Amino acid sequence: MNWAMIWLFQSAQQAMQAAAEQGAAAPTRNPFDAPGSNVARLAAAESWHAFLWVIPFILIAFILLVVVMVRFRDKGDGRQPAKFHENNPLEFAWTVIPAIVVALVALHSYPVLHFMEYGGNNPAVNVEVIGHQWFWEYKYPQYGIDISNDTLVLPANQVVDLDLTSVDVIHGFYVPGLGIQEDALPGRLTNQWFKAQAGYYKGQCTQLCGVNHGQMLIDVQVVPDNEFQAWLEAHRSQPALPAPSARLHLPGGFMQYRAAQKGINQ
Amino acid sequence: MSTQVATLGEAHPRQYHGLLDWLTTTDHKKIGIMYLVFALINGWFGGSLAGLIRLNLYNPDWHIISPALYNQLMTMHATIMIFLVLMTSFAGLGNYLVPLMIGARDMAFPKLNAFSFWIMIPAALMLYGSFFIAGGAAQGGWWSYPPLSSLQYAPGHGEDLWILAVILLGIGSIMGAINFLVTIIDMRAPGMSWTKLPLFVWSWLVTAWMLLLALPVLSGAMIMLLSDRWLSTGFYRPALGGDPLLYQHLFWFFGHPEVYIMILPGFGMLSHIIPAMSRKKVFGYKGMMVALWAIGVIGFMVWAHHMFTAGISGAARMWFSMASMAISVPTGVKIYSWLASAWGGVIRFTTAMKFALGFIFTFVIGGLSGLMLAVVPFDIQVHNTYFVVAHFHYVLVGGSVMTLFAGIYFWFPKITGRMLSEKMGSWVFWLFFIGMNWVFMPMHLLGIDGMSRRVATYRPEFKPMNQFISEGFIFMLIAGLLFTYSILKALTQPKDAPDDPWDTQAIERSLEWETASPPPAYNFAEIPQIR
Repeated sequence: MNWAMIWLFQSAQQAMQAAAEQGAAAPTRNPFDAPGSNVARLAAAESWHAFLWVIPFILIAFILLVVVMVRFRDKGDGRQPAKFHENNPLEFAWTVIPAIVVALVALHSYPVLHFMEYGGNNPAVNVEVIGHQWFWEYKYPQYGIDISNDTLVLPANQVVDLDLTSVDVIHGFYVPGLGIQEDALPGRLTNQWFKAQAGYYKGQCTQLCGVNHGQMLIDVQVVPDNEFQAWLEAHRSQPALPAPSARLHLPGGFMQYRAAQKGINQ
Repeated sequence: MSTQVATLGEAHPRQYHGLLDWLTTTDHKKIGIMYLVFALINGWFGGSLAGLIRLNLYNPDWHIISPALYNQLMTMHATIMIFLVLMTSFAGLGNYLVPLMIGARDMAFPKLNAFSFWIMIPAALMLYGSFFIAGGAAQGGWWSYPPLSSLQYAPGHGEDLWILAVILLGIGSIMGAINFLVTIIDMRAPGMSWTKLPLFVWSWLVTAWMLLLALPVLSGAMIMLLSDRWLSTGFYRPALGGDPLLYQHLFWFFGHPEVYIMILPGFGMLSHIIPAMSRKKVFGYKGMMVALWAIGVIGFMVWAHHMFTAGISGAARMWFSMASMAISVPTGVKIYSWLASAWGGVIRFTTAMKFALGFIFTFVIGGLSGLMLAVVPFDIQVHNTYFVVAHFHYVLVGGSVMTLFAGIYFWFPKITGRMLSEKMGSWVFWLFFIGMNWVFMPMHLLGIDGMSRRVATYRPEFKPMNQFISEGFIFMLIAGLLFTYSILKALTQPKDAPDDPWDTQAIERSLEWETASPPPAYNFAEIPQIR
């Protein structure tokens, strides 16, 4: 390695460090105000779409409620109450119209859901996310890197594929800025993919996992490719741990199982 | 008629008097009252736990309560509120009112009825007592998901006591459900055909069916959990070929119908209160009845929307998304029908009516945030965050509890022969309504901003909102104090309530208002005839 490379890596590391300090001090990003991945943007757009269909129903109910309260209160003027107590066309309408609307809202979300689940082909980076009481372990099988209780570092604008499992109880991997949430269950593999923008993302465990559930935080730093390469270089030297299949109690190794699962999915 | 009824009541003298009478009674009315008193006492305990939770969350750095104790408080708050407050108070009102409304002298199985109530006492003692044993109470949340609830991660007997208490409560509920079903099917007064059944009775019929189908599944899941803990079985243990997801499916197969069990009797009550206070017949009786059944059937097809992030398949997510949305349609039918019931009426804004109309406001919010949560891409963003906490408190507090307040204010004169103070009632309503929205509305935003639920502490950016929420709790606390005082005060006054204080018989015949307030031991001098 020549000096120029070392200088490049050092400056990349310094840039990462500065961005991390800044990001850690900022509030948690959420997918609606500041979506940080393609998945978050899609999910936020789909949520707004559904919400726009929901708003009229809130408004209709509230307006009718206010009208009823104002117009039909007992003013003591001897007005007689109306006698009607059924109206078939009206009842038909308020059954069928909402039914059609909710069906459309559900159907509209299906392609987005499908893409969020199965769209992450040819991931550039695979990370095994392993929940522990009460920290996260991240393995990069391609690079022989295994870090625990640390920031998850990922490259920007590339398909990242997370495989989640747990060694003890169920944990929930939730990073709102990236638009992802998936449980990590012992004895099972769950999967989540996304393509993120550079930035710092905070999250936390969402599945009650014991005493320190509230302190089981998640920090993700998505960096440009050169900084990611520098980070890989700095961490590659660490000794690798045995394959997770030993802990998973699954027939075959972790990667075979994952390959089979991918085969089903695609 | 009242005098005639009174003499008949004395013709059947009670075996015991005073406390012994309450302990041995099989009278559905006394059992109903005991359910309600028990629910109020537990409401204070469950509410106090909520207060401690909000106190601890006021500042993330205080750590007044250790995380272990926090998890116990949170678990018990939910368990008490669900099993010992909401289910119990609906069971109480159902016990009291269903036989009266169908013109029966008692429930079909009076002794079984007493059993259903009394089995709750050991269950409650086990739940409260578990705080004082080594290791404390259960800490796994009211879902008690394994492996967190397995022996390895929950070694204390608090978890065992919790499981046993839930099994006992389940037995009581199953017996109660059978009792309600037989009573309603078999003991209606002559001439009361199905299309003349009051909507509260319909709502209890559907609720009882749901209890009968859902509770055995919970009991089975609990027995398997207990067996995994102590008998080395592996139903939920991956190392033995089991699967923790199995528990989630079983639990939510009970857990989601459970939320309808906790709201349908409230729907039934509103279908009496809103028409009575609007001086109009209920709108769309048949639509209301069909909607109850639709909820009762679809309610069993939506459970896995609690597991959208648990790694279930894409096809399952799609099905449960669609079904969860579909259930909002019959719920919407009910909202519109209540509004149509009030439309054109001459509305009296009694406390019961204020709670009923306040319910429409809060339940529309809770229902539609539920509809949003059925959209899977959205659910993934806020699942297990405070958004969900906001949602289910809007349907359980803004929904169930508001209907309970309305129902108590409406039927209190019938149950006790005394009127509750309307002046204090108005204060109770406004304090509770403002406090409830103050506390739970901002939680939507907390969830969207990324605060996870069931945490004893949180990142600093969530502090201002949490402090705001905790301050709102004071309003709910004062409302609870005033409500309790109002009840105690009313009980010291002479019995001066008329048989039909709300003048409901002028609009629609409902049998409970035809007998005295409070009704005599045998309810009716003669079984009423319905034409």
